[in-house]
Amino acid sequence: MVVLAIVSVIVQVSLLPALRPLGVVPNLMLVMVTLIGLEGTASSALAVAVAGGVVLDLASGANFGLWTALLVLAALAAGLVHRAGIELVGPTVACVIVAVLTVVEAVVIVLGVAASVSSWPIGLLSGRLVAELVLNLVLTVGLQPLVRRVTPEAAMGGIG
Amino acid sequence: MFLAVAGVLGQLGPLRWAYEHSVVPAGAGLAAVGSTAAEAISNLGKVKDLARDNLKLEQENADLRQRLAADAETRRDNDLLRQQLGLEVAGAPRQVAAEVVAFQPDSYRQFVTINKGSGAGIKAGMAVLSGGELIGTIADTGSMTSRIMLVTDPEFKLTAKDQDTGATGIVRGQLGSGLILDKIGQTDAVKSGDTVTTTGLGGLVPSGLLIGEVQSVNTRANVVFQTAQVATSLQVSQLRFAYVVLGM
Repeated sequence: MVVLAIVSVIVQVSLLPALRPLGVVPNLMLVMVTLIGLEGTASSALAVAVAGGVVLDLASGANFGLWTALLVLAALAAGLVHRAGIELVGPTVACVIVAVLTVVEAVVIVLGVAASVSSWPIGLLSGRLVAELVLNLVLTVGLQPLVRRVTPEAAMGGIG
Repeated sequence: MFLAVAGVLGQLGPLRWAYEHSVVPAGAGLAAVGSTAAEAISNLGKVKDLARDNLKLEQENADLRQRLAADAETRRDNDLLRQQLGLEVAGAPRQVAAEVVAFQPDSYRQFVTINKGSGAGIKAGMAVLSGGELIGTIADTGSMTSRIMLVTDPEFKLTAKDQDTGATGIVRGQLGSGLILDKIGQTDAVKSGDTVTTTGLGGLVPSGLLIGEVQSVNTRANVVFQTAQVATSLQVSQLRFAYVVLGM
């Protein structure tokens, strides 16, 4: 799981922004933290969220701490699902968490530059958000079996 | 919140050191692979236009050779006059080459990280070129890396001028992509096809650096300023190398 997390961070700052499938950068780290939180333990998800978030914040030009906060939120949301005892039969819960936080990420980043923007290309921004949502959900469904295989048995029912 | 405060206070030195010595070297190769793949995919879609683009480029090349020859003469005359007046002869800008090793990890902001930092003499605010065009300015530096705010970032701003008419304005990145030349006086002439360059006013960016070409002009009678859409050839995903202008 540690290797998977490290690879995900490196891919997020190097390969994915260079490739830009559908013109957007999929949020692989968000997907990984959510899946680790749901398939493993909340504490391991929090550790990955903090370490990965700091690296992404160092690479990012947005407000420092944004990525760490977003990924920690994902880890906490996944931990709450465990605590609530929600059955995790398929990727539905993971997809809901990833979808909500993808929208939150976009809104926070765009609001952060709102003071500098003179025109709002709503159509273009909406298109990018939809494309990123689709890619993140595809990654969530595709990576869930892999994350389930590599995470240790979840400590059921509690955070940490 | 602790991290945000530490970031504002500039106390991220140890974290940055660890990032520069671990993630950056590991990601550099993947960034190169990604850029090459992005370029290859982009080229696949252009195969049928190759013949037409080739002819257009040959004509542009011939035109540019002619202009280069005329500019060389002008430069010689300029240097001679400067010597006669006792002024310093303008030199070519000193540059340091760097490789792009990391990109902005989201779809909305436009930053890249290069593998040269303050150790190579780079400072915040310096201009960065690639392919002969200004692609951004240095946002911040570490000892071994620097982060570049690209011209297409929504917070990018720089004074610029229309090289053909002398009209000045502020070039700004647009959310989504692209550039606009803003705050152009209503009486200033700007037309499609004009070249936009830096003015050198304030900061560390020298004058005369190519930014892009005017695509369209937006003029309305009831506003104080005109705006113009500026086209740049910057393709973030295919960015491999950057050249930081250290000074004249």
